[in-house]
Amino acid sequence: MADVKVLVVDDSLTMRVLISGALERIKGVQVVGAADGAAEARKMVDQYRPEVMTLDVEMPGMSGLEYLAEIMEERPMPVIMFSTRTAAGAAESVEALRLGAIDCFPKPKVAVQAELDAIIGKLGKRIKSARNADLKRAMAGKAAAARKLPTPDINWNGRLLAIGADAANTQALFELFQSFPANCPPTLVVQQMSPGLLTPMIEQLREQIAPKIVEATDGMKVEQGTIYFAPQGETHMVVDSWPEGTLRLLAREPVAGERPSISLLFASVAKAAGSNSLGVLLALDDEDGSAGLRAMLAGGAYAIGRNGTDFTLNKGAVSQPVAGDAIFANIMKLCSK
Amino acid sequence: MTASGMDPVLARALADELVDLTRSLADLAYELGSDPDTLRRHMVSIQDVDRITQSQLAIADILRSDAPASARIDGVTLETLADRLRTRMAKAA
Repeated sequence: MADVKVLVVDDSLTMRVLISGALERIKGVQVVGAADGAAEARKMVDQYRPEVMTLDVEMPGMSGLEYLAEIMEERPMPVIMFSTRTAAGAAESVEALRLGAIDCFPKPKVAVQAELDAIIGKLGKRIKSARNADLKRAMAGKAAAARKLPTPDINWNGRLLAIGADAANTQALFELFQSFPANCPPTLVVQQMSPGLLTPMIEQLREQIAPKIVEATDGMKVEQGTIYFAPQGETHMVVDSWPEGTLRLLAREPVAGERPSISLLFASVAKAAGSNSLGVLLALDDEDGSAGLRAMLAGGAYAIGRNGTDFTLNKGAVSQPVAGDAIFANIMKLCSK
Repeated sequence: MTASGMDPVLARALADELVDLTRSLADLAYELGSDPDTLRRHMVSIQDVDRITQSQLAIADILRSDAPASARIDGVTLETLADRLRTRMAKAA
């Protein structure tokens, strides 16, 4: 496969040098240019046709967020943001993910090689999986501000819903949960994202959706009408039984490099709820999640998983394609009487 | 003429020239920094060039602006540069 062509955009010369140097060391990645702002980046996009862009959130003149919105409206491409590790930086990072950026990495506290080396493995994986990103042209003007409306209440059939996602799915999760009815099926979510972004994202979602949304705590009862996000970093989230399940947060070693682990959540759902569950794996990089989804299938559950840029709905040996924008309808159908 | 006595057309021409020179300087530093050994040995110097180029771009913005001098300086996001300019202005007044 040909190298992934990357354009680096950052107003800081030091960061351009460091990010470009770090990316050049990743096999299969080619840095085609480094721009100091939106104006130069526009020219380089036309000239070099990059497949992925890294973009600084905070830039003088046109900010990274403004330029990201322009890209997503005019010529969507996978964009990876770099942002400062501050509360304001976290809020801007969530906004960038909501606008369609596929990931957001913290900027090094000190601009030195070692700080970038710490994230280079994950950055490389993210760039290579970017080709499968679901990129949608952002809506312009008033339409962009319009949120999806929640659907009317459902007649829930008792099925437990578990979702595995990563930072690239943030926009999709916002749209999905905006459509959820207030009495949605109990929904357990593990989303892999940079530290510090989950809490501000939940705060933003809380203002925009009908169901209750919480960051899970150990011993929390799993109830209809609530979306539970696994906290980041220290523990895995599992469910101990179904129906009338309780969430447990386990301080175990990372699984496939991840904690919380999507696969561990899915495996616990498979054990607790068996065929009375639905697993949805949205994550671009399925290293964490695919084993758990297989466990759910083996337990008789329905499972929606990624197949390149498309999705499939699976039950036993039967598989059928599902368009990305039909996932919500399938979830509601499978969780209603 | 602007408050500083400089022809605005000349001020904008100087700003454009400064931006072009800055970009050349940044490209040179980027080229040098692309070599891992040079980067390792001269990281501090590259950071210095970074600070210089960002200051030059801020000065170009000041040259382009038609706002009063104090407002132009308030618009500079590099605090150390803004402070230096305020000090120089106060001394010159």
